[in-house]
Amino acid sequence: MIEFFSMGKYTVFVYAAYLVSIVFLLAGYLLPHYELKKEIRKKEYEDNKK
Amino acid sequence: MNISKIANLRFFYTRTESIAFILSILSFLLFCIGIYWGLYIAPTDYLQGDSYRIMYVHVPAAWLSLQVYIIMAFSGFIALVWKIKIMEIASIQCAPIGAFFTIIALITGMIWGKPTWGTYWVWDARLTSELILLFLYIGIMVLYSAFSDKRQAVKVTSLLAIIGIINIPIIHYSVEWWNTLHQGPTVTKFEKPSAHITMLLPLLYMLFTFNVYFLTVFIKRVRLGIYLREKNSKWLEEYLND
Amino acid sequence: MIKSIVKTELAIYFRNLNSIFLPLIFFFLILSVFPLILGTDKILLGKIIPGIIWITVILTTLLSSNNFFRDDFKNGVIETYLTSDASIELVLFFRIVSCWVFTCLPVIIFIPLVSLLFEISFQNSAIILLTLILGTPVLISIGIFGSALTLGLAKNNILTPVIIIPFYIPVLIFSASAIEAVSIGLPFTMQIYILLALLVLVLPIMPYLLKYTLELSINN
Repeated sequence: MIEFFSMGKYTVFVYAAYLVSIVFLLAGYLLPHYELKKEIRKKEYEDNKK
Repeated sequence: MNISKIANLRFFYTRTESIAFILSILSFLLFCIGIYWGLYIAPTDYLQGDSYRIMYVHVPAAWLSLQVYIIMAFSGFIALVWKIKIMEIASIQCAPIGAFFTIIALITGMIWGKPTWGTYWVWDARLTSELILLFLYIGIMVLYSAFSDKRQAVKVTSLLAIIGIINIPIIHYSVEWWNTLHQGPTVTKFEKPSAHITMLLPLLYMLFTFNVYFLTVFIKRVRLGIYLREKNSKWLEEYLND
Repeated sequence: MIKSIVKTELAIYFRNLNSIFLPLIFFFLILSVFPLILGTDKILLGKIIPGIIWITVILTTLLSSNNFFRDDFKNGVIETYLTSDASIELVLFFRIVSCWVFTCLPVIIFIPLVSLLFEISFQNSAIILLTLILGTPVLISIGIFGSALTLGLAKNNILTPVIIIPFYIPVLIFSASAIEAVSIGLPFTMQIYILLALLVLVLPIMPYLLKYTLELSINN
């Protein structure tokens, strides 16, 4: 496992870049996913209120 | 004609639920393989050491930020001329996706720049036009949210996207030309290395992976857009109650 | 026909004399703020004064062309534009030109005074003047396009500039490059040709684009 971090002085940069992109990519997927669920739940709540 | 247009949306929404899920699993797996490939298997560069590995996320993100803009402008054009509803939804939903890709490209570019050039930012053609691209995306999203009638909003943002597509190459080439004037014949900006196939192959793979990811998020967002627009229609209520 | 359009435009602008002088005063105000902030180091100011003039001109054109269609929208003039048989593109073209004449032309006329105040050399001020003459009509046209896009939006105070400024950037880059080339002594003809090309491309197309945008924005 330790060989993953053997990039010399670049380790921090490379992993920071990959981390940032993973975070944004995940966020880009999860945002519409949970937004749709929230909207469906909101509509059911409003329908049940009536 | 009316029926077929609505059927368009309904067809899309009802059929793509499982496709979206499968694609999300697929893109996750492809990313795992790609990251392992890029970080571990690809060899260390002679000149740049290991910092070039950032290229495996930076270049696909930048490429896709442009590609998504073109898709956005193209679907906006179809929406304006032929008034096809799903194209209206597709056009505006591309904007946040593209903005995220642009942000990834900018931040990873900055992180890559620090060890390679010594500075986080340099006003060269590529980075500057990427920044302007981000502003274009943000402008489109803000313009869309400012309208209360969303159908009206889509028309206006489609027009803005189409006009913007002319702007991007103009800015890119004018900044590039401006910089070559400054620096003279010895260009010190980073050039893509004439790379070995073992370094190029993971890049092409990551490009493919990012595209699969884009397809996943695109389908998810278009489903969200369809739901928001057709919330109160009958077919949606029937479908959701099964 | 053209005479009547010109007369109407002049009447609109002269009815409210403020609208003529306000852009000019705004221009000088912002221009005066810069030395206050940056200090009176003459060498520093001499180096960046073309940029300062251009930034101020951008702000002036943005704020003047922002509300171009606002009153027309409120008064229902736009519907008459779109339903009339007359060549509405010609009317729009003259409106763009008159907007330029009443907002940018005073600024351009006063540039020699500015070059006296800031001790700009003759060649530099000549090239600044030339790039302004070629660039400001394009800026005004694009600003008016932005105003047409955001027609009917209630609180579009800073939205329109945010959308429009990326489209200003090519004009800016080539003007700045021309000014720098002159101050160094390099040839500047290519930048001037490109600015001229932008002017010749944008200005004729803009009335047609405006008509299309107005049709889009008004369709409710």
